[in-house]
Amino acid sequence: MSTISPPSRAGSGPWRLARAELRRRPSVKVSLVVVTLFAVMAVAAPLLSALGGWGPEEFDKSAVDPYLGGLPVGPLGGVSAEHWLGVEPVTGRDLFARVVHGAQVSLLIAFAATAIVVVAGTAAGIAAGYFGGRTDSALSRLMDLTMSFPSLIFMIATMSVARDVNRIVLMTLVIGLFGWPGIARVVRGQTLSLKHREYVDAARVGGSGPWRILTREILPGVAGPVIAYTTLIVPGMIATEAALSYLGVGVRPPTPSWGQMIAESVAFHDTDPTYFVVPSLCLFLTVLAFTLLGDALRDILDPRGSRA
Amino acid sequence: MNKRTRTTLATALVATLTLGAAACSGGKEAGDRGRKNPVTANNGATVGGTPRKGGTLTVLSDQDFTHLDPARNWVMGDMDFGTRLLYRTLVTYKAEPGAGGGDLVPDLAEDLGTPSHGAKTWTFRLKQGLKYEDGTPVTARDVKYNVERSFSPDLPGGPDYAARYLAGAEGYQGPAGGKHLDSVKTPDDRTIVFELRKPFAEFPYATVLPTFAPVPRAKDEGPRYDNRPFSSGPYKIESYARDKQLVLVRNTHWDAGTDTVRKAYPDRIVVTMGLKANQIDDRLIASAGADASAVSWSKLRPESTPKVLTRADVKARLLAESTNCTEMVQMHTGRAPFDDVKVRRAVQYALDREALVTASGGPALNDAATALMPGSLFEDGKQPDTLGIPLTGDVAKAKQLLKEAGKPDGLSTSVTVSNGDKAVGEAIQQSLGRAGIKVTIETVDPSAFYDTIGDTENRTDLVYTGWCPDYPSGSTFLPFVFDGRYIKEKGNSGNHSLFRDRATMKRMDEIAAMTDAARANKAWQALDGEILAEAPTAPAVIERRPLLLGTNVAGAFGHTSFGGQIDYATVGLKDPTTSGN
Repeated sequence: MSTISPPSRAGSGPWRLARAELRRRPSVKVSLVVVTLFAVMAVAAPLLSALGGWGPEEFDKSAVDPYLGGLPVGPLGGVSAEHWLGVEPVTGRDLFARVVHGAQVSLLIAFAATAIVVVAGTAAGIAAGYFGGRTDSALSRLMDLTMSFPSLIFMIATMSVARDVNRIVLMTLVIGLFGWPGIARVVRGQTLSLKHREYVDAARVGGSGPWRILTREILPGVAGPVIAYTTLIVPGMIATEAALSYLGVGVRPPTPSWGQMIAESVAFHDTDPTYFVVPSLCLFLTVLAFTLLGDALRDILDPRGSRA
Repeated sequence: MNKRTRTTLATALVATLTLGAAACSGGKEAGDRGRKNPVTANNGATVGGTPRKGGTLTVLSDQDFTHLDPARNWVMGDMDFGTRLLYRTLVTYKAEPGAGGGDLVPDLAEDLGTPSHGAKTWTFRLKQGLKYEDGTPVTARDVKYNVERSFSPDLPGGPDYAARYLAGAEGYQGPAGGKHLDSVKTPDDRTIVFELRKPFAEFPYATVLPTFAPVPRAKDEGPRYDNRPFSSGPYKIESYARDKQLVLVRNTHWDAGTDTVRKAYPDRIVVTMGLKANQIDDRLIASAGADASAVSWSKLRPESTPKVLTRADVKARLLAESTNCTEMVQMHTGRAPFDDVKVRRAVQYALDREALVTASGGPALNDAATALMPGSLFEDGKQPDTLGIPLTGDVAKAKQLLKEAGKPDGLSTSVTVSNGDKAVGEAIQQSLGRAGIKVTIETVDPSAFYDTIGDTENRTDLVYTGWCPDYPSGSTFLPFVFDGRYIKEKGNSGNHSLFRDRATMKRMDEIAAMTDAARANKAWQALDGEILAEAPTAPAVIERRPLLLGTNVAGAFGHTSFGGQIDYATVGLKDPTTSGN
């Protein structure tokens, strides 16, 4: 008879349980790999493009045929030992270098905007839920107002009017500005249900101030849904960034971004499909990976939310 | 004026000058690269043979006409369409491919006009039997009336040659208040006399412009006339929905016997507007069904070139006549850092014209510019290499010039390009970047482009735009682009380098006063080089106008005098029965 008993799960904390649950799902593993890959790619962009031998803004006239309207020379949009993913038509810029640098811009904006949304949304949600009364109505009305705003039109207008500012910072702020009410509502609801739990009451009776209660008692309680929600809004942010760049109000050329590359490649979809496929595939994979990851996290951390 | 809003001529003005045809310039790169230009095969020839009468010709367009009102029509393709189909002018261009398209032929008039008083007075006599679409006769008074209404403040946008040359025209505000121009006389129904301020030997060229088309007073509806010009040509408007569709049907009162130019082959001409440029290209490449009887209005998109050039059967249906407009990177010479000629020359040296040519659609559809005036204004119809800079630029020299100008670390600036020229903007950015000039690109919608760059105070240092001569004379190019006296604070046009050089202006006046046309042309050519040395602009490319035809289209050629647009006087169908609707 074996003396080794299987590890007991009864004593595990909720986080360890969650991790075990996540590890069980193959979709999570795959999406984690993809997300990590793109994150590393974004961080190491200059290094990677140096490895490829081409900068993202470097023209290569020998890689395109000027007599054919600048169509890349060679099969699959000019894929060669020199240009791993081929080149951009007309300019001959290296697609690998541009996609890698585009990841940097796209992910930077998406993550930064998500950070703004999560911090602002959680703070507003907790405050509204915990303090109630006037604070709640003021914040809730503000959420309604922001949500009812035609955000995409407002973003396009802002991006077109403000010309001489750092585009990446502006884009982050503009995208972040409209994302926070969603998460704030989730957090507010969670806070409302938490604030009358016994342990919170106990802390209150024990003499804890509101700050301590919020940070020590409430915040850990809402962390699960917040994490799940965060993962779920990242793909939305990436898509919004791509949409704005696609519409021509994103980052300025020659800075590459996925949305901009897709916008430009549309015109070449039948003559140089590779140009269209490469950035689209990157965008698709990233968004899919984050969505799968977010779904799994929500199932585990916020089971009630997934049913709603 | 701007490249869009000018007529171009590619041929000789005077017999003493042998200006080559634009068709010849196609061979230029052939030597440069050892490859034959694959698109210019149709230049100087008519595609599709002689059309048969009847059927419906469809024109696929991504835009509406700017103006069809003859008093306001000053966009090259629109002038072609208007004067070839809807209204006749005193004189017009011959309907002939290649160099012949620059020859004048009488249209409403019996001859090319009779000068007197040393070319200060011009008399035209109208043909007999000219009729409008309702059968009423065309009179000399109607021509005078349209000239007068071109002065109306509520009808802007038209050619201003009448205002520049007619005597006593200063301050004239049009016929609305019952005032008339005394310098245009109509002694009888068929005679019209123009009295000019100064001798103007080229006046018949000006009478090709739609300003000199007849408009009967009874039909004038002010700005609304733009939607329904009253026809004196072979077609009349059946319906016109702005930005959607224009349908022309035969004007039964037009008499072919009075018209040596227009053939009027199709029964109907339908212009379908508001399409996407790429879709038009794809439809005409496929040329299926009714599209076989269609032609494109706007230039082939650069992205579509591979689809056309790789297929011999499609390539045979491509027209690619030169527009004769010189596109330039124009620098704001009025403020730092481009008030320094060394910095401006550095831009000329840094500019990679080969990259710009590729970005504009490749050497098949463009020539790199080596001088300011287009080739048609030079001997042999070819620009001399006045700049003497390699096409890919000379970065070392540019850096050295910047150093001499006290900017060894380079500088930052910005360029305004039209939305469609974004690739060109990136080529400018990249090539100037090599010399340390950091360029930010501002893209502007084409409809707002000229207003944006015309605001001299707020515009960017660099703008990318061009100029086309009105007829083959340096007097319609250099003074419009480099005379500082015509600069306007807002709504500036032409002189986008804001070049104010006393010596140049003095020389321009001297040349304008020359009576010997050949000597004047030589002088303009010399002045071209002198201005280039001052580097107010960096000449970049001279574009072609690539247009696709359906397989059933016949009698089509790019007219050299209308910026390479299809000559609508002669285009028709091979087999009218298959054209549908």
